[in-house]
Amino acid sequence: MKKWTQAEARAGRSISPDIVNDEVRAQQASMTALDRSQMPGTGWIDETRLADYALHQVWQADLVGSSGEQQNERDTLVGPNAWVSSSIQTSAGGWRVLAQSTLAGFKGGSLYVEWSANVYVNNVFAYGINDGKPGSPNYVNMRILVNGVNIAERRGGGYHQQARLVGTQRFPPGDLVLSLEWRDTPTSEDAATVNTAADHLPFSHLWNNRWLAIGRYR
Amino acid sequence: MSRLTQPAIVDGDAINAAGLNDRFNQFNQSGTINQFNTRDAAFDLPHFATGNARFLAPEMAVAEIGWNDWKHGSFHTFTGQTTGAAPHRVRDSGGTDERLSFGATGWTLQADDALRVFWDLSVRPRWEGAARPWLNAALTFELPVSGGGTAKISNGYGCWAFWLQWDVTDNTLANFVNIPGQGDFNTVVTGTRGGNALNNCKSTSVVPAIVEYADVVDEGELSGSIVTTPVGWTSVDGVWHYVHTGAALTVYGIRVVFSGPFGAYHSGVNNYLVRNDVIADNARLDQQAGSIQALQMRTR
Repeated sequence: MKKWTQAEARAGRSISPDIVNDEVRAQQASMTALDRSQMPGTGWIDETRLADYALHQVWQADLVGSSGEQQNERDTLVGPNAWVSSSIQTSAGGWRVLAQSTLAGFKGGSLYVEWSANVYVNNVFAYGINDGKPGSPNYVNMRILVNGVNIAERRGGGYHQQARLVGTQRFPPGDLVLSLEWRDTPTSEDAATVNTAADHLPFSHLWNNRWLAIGRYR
Repeated sequence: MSRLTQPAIVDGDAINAAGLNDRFNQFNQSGTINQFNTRDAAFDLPHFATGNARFLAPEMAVAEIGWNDWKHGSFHTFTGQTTGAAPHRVRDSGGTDERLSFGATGWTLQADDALRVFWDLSVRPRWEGAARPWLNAALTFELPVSGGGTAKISNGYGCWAFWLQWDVTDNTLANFVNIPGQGDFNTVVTGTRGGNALNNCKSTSVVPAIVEYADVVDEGELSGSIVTTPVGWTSVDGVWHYVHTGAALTVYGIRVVFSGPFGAYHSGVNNYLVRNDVIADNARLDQQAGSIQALQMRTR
């Protein structure tokens, strides 16, 4: 714990302007390091005097976009009992940006991000005989990037199921760019692309996406 | 309240110990230093001599729900539902509906307050009656088979859905309704089948009801057998948050409800999660134990 003063002022002591100014600055700087017994006028320090976002800040989307679904790939040629979603015909592969948002006004400190969704993966074709590889389910990988830094990445769901990703990291002051990204693992080269009615077969989807970020500044 | 506007001492100023102590006293006067004299985020919760120590999260609550038997020896079994049905509620060992109560006075959400809910539940989707009953429902792909012919196989959409209801009426907890943005899957979407548009499922979590795949696929055709694997005991969990706007709202409790079996449907570019009424009698969901947590949090 810091001391309230750097030096005690006494009569007859030699003094220079810099010493006095240092003293004043020290007092101002030490305001944050005082414990409550040292606070001047202890009655006034309560949350009613806090400026908005003094301690923490929340950014969120309770539904990403207007539908909460991934909008990167929307194959409309699927059958009626399937979703307009990513198919083998439309899959770009690699990481796709599901949502990106600027966390404006971040003051420096800890950032917590949670991303929740339901994922669907078509796993009918987990084992292609010409792959030369053992059968392996497909997954919807998920990762959270903040200013390009990967703070959380998981394998994600392999069925039609709920999936959640949580990450935390410390960041310096300044606006942060939050990026929620997904990637479906490549399907077998033997996978069918259409059914017997020539409808495209859906491959993966993410829906009911929502996220919440908390900046904790102290 | 006042600001400290004491100018800096510069060369040539007359100064003595008394003046210096006066300067110190200004900092020690109650009521002299205030928000104008401290920077943003100058104080952390431990600094607060008065006020609410639970500033960030004024309210928190947690409860176990369901029938707690970790060996899965005892559980409740629920049958699938058709369009129009009220959802099943999670039940305790005695068959009583489970919910998380926010106390006699409830929690009052002010504008910009967030309500965050986390829950989990141990469940086992399964089927009874005819083998692979989903073949008679809108839950399959029809694919060519090596050597000729076609076969149906689960399209992987088949699921049970779980969502949240809250009571914003009173603490009797007899008036649960779906949370905002969450439908009850009873709006007819196609034929007589009820469902929700995917953007009306804000608190929905799904758990697969069918796990089925081709043993082997060969150049786009099914080869070998179709493998059906029981889902078995698994967990389903959910995260939901709600940031309140407008006039204060008091929430008295929240609960998890569920229904099934569901599958996919689309009309144009709009996707829906819809019921499969024709095989509802075959669907079962065994429910055991879980937990639910909620907190009221300030967003600023």
